[in-house]
Order: sequence, then C-alpha cells, then structure tokens
Amino acid sequence: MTTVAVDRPPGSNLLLRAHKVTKAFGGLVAVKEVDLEIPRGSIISLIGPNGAGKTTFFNVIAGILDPTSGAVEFDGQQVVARPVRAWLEPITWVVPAVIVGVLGVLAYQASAVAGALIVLLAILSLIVMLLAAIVRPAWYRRFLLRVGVFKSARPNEMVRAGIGRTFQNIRLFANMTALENVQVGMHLKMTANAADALLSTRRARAEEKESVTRALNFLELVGLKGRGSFMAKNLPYGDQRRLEVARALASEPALVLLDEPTAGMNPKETREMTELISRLRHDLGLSFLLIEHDMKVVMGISDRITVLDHGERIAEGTPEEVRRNPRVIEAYLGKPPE
Amino acid sequence: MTAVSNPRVQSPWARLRSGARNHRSITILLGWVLVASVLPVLVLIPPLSTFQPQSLWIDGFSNAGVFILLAMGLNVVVGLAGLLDLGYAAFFAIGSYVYAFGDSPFTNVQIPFWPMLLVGAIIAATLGLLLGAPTLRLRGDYLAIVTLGFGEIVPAVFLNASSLTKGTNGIGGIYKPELFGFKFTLENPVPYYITMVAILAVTMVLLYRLQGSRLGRAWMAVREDELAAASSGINTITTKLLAFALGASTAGLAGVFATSKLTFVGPGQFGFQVSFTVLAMVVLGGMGNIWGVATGAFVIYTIQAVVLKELNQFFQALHVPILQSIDFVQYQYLLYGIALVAMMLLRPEGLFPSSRRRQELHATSDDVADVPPPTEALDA
Amino acid sequence: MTPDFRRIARPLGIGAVALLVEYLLLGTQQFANAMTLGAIYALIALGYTMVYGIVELINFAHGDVFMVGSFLAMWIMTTVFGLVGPVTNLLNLVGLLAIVMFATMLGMGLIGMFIERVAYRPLRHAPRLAPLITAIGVSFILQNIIAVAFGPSPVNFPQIVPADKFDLLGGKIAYLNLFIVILAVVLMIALQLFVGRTRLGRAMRSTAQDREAAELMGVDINQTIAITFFIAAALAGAGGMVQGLYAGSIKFDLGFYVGLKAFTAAVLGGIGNTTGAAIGGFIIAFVEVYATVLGYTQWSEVAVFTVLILVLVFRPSGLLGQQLGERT
Ligand SMILES: Nc1ncnc2c1ncn2[C@@H]1O[C@H](COP(=O)(O)OP(=O)(O)OP(=O)(O)O)[C@@H](O)[C@H]1O
Ligand SMILES: [Mg+2]
Repeated sequence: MTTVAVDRPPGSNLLLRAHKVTKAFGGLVAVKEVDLEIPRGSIISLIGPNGAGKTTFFNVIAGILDPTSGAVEFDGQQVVARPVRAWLEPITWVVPAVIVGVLGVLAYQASAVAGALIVLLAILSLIVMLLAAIVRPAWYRRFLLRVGVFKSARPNEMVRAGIGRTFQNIRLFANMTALENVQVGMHLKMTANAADALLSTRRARAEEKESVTRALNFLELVGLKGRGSFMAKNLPYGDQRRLEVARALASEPALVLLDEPTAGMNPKETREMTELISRLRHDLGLSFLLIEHDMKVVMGISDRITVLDHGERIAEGTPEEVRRNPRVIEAYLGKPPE
Repeated sequence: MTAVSNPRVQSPWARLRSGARNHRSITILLGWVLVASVLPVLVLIPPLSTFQPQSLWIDGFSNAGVFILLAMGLNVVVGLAGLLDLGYAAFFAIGSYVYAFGDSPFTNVQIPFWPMLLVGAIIAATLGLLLGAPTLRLRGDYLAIVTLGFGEIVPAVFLNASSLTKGTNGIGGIYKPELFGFKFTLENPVPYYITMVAILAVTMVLLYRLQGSRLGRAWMAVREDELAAASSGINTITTKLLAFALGASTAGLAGVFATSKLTFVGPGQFGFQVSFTVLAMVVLGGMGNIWGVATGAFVIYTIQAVVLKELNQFFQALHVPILQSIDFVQYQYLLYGIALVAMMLLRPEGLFPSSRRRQELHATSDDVADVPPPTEALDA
Repeated sequence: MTPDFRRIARPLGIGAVALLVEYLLLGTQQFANAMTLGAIYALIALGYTMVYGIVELINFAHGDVFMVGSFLAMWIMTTVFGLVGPVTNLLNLVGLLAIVMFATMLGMGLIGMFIERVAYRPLRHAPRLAPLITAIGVSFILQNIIAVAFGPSPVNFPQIVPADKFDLLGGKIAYLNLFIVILAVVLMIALQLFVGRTRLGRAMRSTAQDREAAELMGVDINQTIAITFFIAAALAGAGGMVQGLYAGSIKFDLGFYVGLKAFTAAVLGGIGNTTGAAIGGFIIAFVEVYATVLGYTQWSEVAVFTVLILVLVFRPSGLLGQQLGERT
C-alpha cells in the first residue's frame, strides 16, 4: 500500500476517496472514471439501473478487482490502484537466493562447510520471501514499494484496514451455523494461532468462549436472536441477508459496504434494516456505502447519493437534488418523447 | 416462487455430535486405549486366528496405523480445507528418506528415532510450503495437477540421484528405534504397535483441537466460499498453505515411522498408487470427519492387505469354477476407482460421514442461497 | 496494433520464435523428433484446454483416454485387420491408416461422451472437489481395465508404416514423423475451422464465455459440453494411434506420464486457448528432447515439471491466456 501525499492529513473527515476509478472487462467498460467521497459517519448511496456498474465499483473498492485505472484511498492511504511492475515481485523472491546460492557454490571450493551453510542460507531466503509474499507483513509491503512494485490490497487486507462488506447474491458459508458465520467474521479480531489451538491454551479457550458471546450479540443486533444454531443455508432469505450484515459488522469495520441489503425483504424487514443502519451510524459512528434499488430506503437515509449509468457518474448530490435531476429521471425512465 | 426451505433447528445433542469443538481430549485418548487393547485380542477369536499368527496380526495393525496416519493428514487438506492433493505419497517418501539419511549406516549418521519423527515432519512441511506457495495463489485445481506431478517427481529424483540414494536398490539396514536402552526388534511387534497407537492418539487429539479452533473455522470457510472468506478478513492463501503443510508434516511423520519399521527404503514404495489409496481412504471414510477417515483407512487397509489375498486362497481351496482363477489383488485399484466414482455420485459424504459434511455435499447450488426473493420487493 | 491483428500475430510470432530456437539448438534430426513428439502432446493438450475452457474441470482421465485410444487402435489393427508388419503398398497403407484412425477417433469420442455423461454431468452443480475426485477415479478405472485386459507389461503396436527415411537438411527423417506432424496440423486446422466457423463451434465458444448467457440465448448446454468431450477424446484417440506407431509399444500407464506433460503444455500455452495448447505441446516436447540430447533422459520429467512450476509462478496465465491470477 502506498502512502501518497494527500491534501488532507490522515484522520481527516474523509474516510474513503475514489479517484477516477475505471474498470474494463475486455472491451466492456463497466465503470468509467467514477469519483466518490465518503466522509466519516455518513451514509452514501450508489444507485443506477441494472448493469450500471455499481457492484463492479464495489468490488474495486473491496480489493476484489484491480481497477483498469484510477485509485482508491482509504484513511489517507492509497489501497487500490492498477498494479505497477507486478512482474518484478516473483523475481525479487528468486534473485537473492540465486546470488547467495552462487556465492555458496563458489565458497564450497574453499570450504565445504561454509559453502553448504551459505547454500542453506540461500534456500532459507527463498522460503522467507515466498512466505512473506503470502502473509504480506508490513516490512514486505515497504520492501515492495522500495523496489517500485504496487499491488492493490487484498480483500482480507481491506477488512483489516476497516472495510466490511456484504454481497448482492448472498455468499454465506452455507454449511456452517449462523453463529459460526459471525465467528468467521470476527477472524481478525481474534488472535489464537495454530500453536494456541494445538496446545489448547487457556487464552485460546477463553477467547473462543468470548467469541461465542460476542457473536450472539451481533446476531441479536441484526434481529437473529435464537437463530445461532441454524445452518446458514436453512435460514429464510431475509435472515440470510441479515446474517451477512452481522458477519460484516463482526469485523468491526469503519466503513460498511452493503450491496442491496434489503433485496428480497418485505416492507417490515426493510424498515428494520433501515433503522439498523441509521442506528449504527448514530451509535457507533460507522459509515455506509449503500447500493439500493428501493428508492424509499435510499431517499430516507442517505446523506448523499451518487448515480451511475452505463458505468458513468451522471449525478451526485443530496437526495433532493438527485430526485429532481433530469438526467437521473431520464436514466431511470428513458428519454421523454420530444 | 416462495418456497423457502424450512428452517430446521438442530437439537443441542445433534450439535454435540457434529460440533468439533465439543470434544474432550481425554475421551479421544481413552477411545484409542480401548481400540488398541481390543484389536489384538479380537485376533484370538477362532476364524480370524486361523489365517495368521497373532504377532503377524499385530504387525499388520502397525502397518494399518501408518495408513490411518496418512489418511488423517490428507483429511486436513481435502476434507477440511477442500484442496485436492494428489501427490501425497511424495511427502511420505520425503519423511522416509529423511529417516534413512538421519539414522542409518548408509550415511553413517545416527540421530535417534524420536527426534527424527519431528525432523521428518518439519522437512516434509517445509517442502510442502515450497510447493504450495506458488500454487495456492491460483485456482484450486492447479494444486491437484501440481501435486500429481510432484508425487511423480519425488520418487523419480530419489531413483535418479543414485549417488545419494543408491537409486533403485534403495537404502537398507536402517536403524530401529530405541527407548531408554530398550531396543525395538523385528521379532517383537508390540513396541511398534504401542508407539503407533500413541502417535495416532496424540495426532487425533491435535487434529480435533485444530478443527474446532479459529484456524479450523477458517479452513471450513475457505472450503465453503473462498471469496467470502477473504472478505471476512481471512488470508486465504496462508490458511490453505497451513492446511497443506500440516498434511505434509503428518505424511512425513508416517514416513519416518514406516521406515524405522521396515528398515529399508526404495523409490518403488511411493508410486501414485499410494497417494490414490490414501485418497480413496479419505473419500470412503467421509471427508472432514476424523474418526470416519481413520475407520475408512483401517477398513481399506485390511481389505487390501488381508481380504483380497485370502479371497484368492479361499476360492482356490474350494475350487470355485470361475472365481478361483481370478487374481483379486490385480483388481484392487480398479475397485478403488469404481468406489471413488460411485461414492462421489451416490454417497459423497462417505461411509462414515460427519453430519456437517453430509449436508454440504448433498446440496446443489440451487438450494444453497438461491431462494427466490418475494416479488413485491422487486417492484418496490 | 488492432486487437484482431494481435490475436493472430502474437501466437504466430511466439510459435515461429520457439521453432527457430528449437531448430538451432537441436539440429535437423532431433528437431524432427521434437516436432513429432510435440504433435502428439499438442493433440492431447487440446483436449485438456477445450474441456477446461468449457466446464472449468481438469479432466485427469484425459491422459488415460489417450492411452485407451492407442490400445483401441492396436486392437483394431491386430484383431480386425490382422496386421503385424509394414504395409508396403502405399494405397493400402493410406486406406488402412484412414480407416483405423477414423474408427479410433469415433470410438474414443463416444467413450469420452460416455464418461462425461456418467461421471461428470451429474456433478455439474456439486462442490468443485467432487468432479475432480471422480475424474481421478475414472483415470484409475481406465488404467486398470486396460491392465487387466492386456496385461501390465508393454504391448507391441503393429508397425504398419515402413521405416523408410528421406534426407532433409543433413538429417535422415522417417516418413512416419512427417505423417504424424502433418496429421496433427491438419486436425488442428480442422478444429479451428470447426470452432470458428460452425454453429456448434459458436455454441462452444459462447458456452465457454458465459454459460448462463449462452443458455438464455438458446444454446443447448448439455449437447455442447458432450460435443466438446467427444472432440477432445477423438483428438486424444488420434494421438494414441500415432503414439503407438511412433513408439512401437504401448503400456497401460502411458496416459499418466504423457497426460501430465500434455497438461503442462496446456498451462504453458494458456489454459483455455487452443492455439496456446499447440504451441505449448511443441515447447514441452523440445524440453524433453533437449534433455535427452544433453544426456539427461531420466531427468526429462523433472525438467517438464520444473517448467510447470515456473510458469505457475511467473506467468500463471500462460503464453497466450487471459489473466487468471489471484484476483479473478
Ligand atoms: N467479471 C465480469 N466479466 C465481464 N463482465 C462483467 C463482469 N462483472 C460485471 N460485468 C459487466 O459489467 C456491467 C456492470 O455490472 P454490475 O454487476 O457492476 O452492475 P450493477 O450496477 O451491479 O447491476 P445490478 O443492479 O443488476 O446489480 C454489466 O454489463 C456486467 O455484465
Ligand atoms: Mg449489482
């Protein structure tokens, strides 16, 4: 992740800023130079007709798709952009090992033991680099920047940075219980590693126990009290949506991306979901980016609305402004007859 | 259109049975003590005792234990993390050769058996990491083919690097274990048997603990939906790699044990058939279910080591017209192949499934999450 | 450069450079061997790549389909036609080869369709692991059926093509080699025409791109997938026949090794890309022959495997494939 000079210092009021994000699939430009800003504690909605590119834009922000051009800053850090010199990365794993290895072979002529040790070192360096590339610790990311390689943050790193999300077509862990789904969401908030598990340390057991309590709280929060032991796939559709929200919240994000959270819900459930979102914003100061087709929801809770059509941003403003914008009306209803 | 699948509350007892975290290490250990003390006695019952003397039986149980260990290790990779490892025997081979190098007159090194168990496991895991690191970044199927190749290459390297491994002749005269001055011998199979049971018991406790931990949950999440797992904060590559390396280390451990018992290692012992047999054990036993897989491994090993051979003699002794001329051992792998396909088509959860896995494998994508939304919401 | 030009020029360029390097390193004689081997690998690699492109399944049984193809051809030649030695009459030879090849391709195509119908189709919506496991099961079934039927040791393949050679650029080249390369090229061109120009080919391409959309547009998915398996297996069958002619003997586990190499070829070329599979086949054959020339015959499999790993590390999308990396 690159730290780029931004005009606002980190900790400023702006949580996320997408700058001219473009994503093309082959010839199809699904998102075209879209700008978006999310101030802290706000609810921003993204609307547009089917196929406008809303989900694609989401996936770029969440680190799932690399943008064709443009960049996303989160908390003052550039987290997403087109990869730069990605081909160099595997070479950096191999080159040190090869150099040290050659030295080792040369040293072998002088002293067999020293040579063998140096060769061993070469192998070790290869292993370390390979593992670092997978775990991507901070030093490795800094190292990549030093050699001029930029790669977008991976989805799991986005969660660590503070972005949680749900999916338009529900992606729960179908054969795990509702409780376990939420526990998976808490993955980064837990610390027990493999060794803790193998030794079944007191710490790990305590943490595990606590995670159950906390997961139950999250379930209650979204209105799934008493559903914890259901297999996710056995839940009714509306409950599955809510479970996804609970799983996203479990990672304790600063920004929550919700892709059509009320799709398939009846009016009562929709109202509950809307209330939940407002409450979370007020009580916890969370920010939301919302894709929604239900205009009642959108107009009711959004601070600002961005409208996409054919991948382009055609309007941006408060609900009132957007409602009256002729281009928006045209995009939704078609051109009025002249 | 509104056919929402009926939510079904699991009774607390069902959860106790299916939930891995509700195990007690003591229960598992006691279970193994029970199994270990009953098996050798069973052999004294008349029809069984006629085949082989008891010492051979007990020896056979240790050999079966090697395969149980292999199957439990592969189960982590295939059953829990949902990765297909087709070259599992390679790690078995690596463990075996590590012991042959570490404790034999051939290299003139003599590191005792017990630390070598650990060394074998660690080296196998390291090679597993090296192989998995480039591969696990890609789609899951690549792992299958890369491990298939790896399983082929490793014995080939041991065969061709003959200056280091005595090539096709193999390394013989490998030292046997020793504990506080007590020497293991070929004549007495009991010490090996006890050692194996102890290894199995400890391994199983550890695997159950992992399965019920944060890591075990991450494995399952990755198996269920990799993208959703990543979007929940799981580093999917690390998680898969850990499963892969853990499986490899178990195979390395099994290799050290097997070699210390056989006192010989050669490249011919690690063909693709071994990987395939272990996979069949996992699939038949029930992917994801540790006890089921152990049982499956035991049953298949018994079939292959005893039943098929006895069947030949049985039919020959009775002069059964057609059956007596069939060499059943020859059909072994054909049977495994058919069993594998049949299981996947008809009973993917295995013969001894965990209730969780059964539900998963019988689900088609249609009943997972595609319950159609009520229409009024779409019109709103 | 226009995308269209790139689509044609890039494979041609890569292919030409690869061939030139091969020729310079190997000399005429070994180059001919590499080309022959490459033709066989290419025929098999096409099957891997087509099936993967359309159902995203690594068909582990494909190498064994190839092996069964060589046994089927052998059986037709010996049992049906009673052939043992060379056939000297050119007309007879051509006729026999044509008939045997047609029968083998047809037979294998049907077997391939049968396998898909029984072992893969019921699992199309199952978790991804399930069809992979059946594929490996089918592979073992095929191997062991042949092992039981023809025995586990190598079986002689009737050498019906006379061993005559002709001189070319300082090398002596068997007519058989020429025949194999020409046959492979003809089959590949036929395949390209079929995929590019016919209605069924169009159905295949659209299914590969987006199965649901294709289905909505009225493409019969089951039929399209079945045809893909038919073609893949038929090509493997042709490969099996020429493998028998070329090697002189065949064995039940032949498909395992050759299958692995052909798969590597498919990945190297870019899985899902048919031109790439052909180029990959020739490169892999070159690696193998070059290892032999250098005197490391027994390491050739290790070399091919190393190529596979290197491709996966540095260019998982292969030479011609689309990006398939971690972010898809
Ligand atoms: N992986 C992909 N490959 C190719 N095209 C894609 C891909 N994902 C999306 N598209 C295309 O990009 C366009 C935008 O799709 P997207 O899913 O972002 O729309 P959307 O605004 O979310 O629509 P909806 O309201 O239906 O959810 C569509 O034309 C879609 O077909
Ligand atoms: Mg969408």
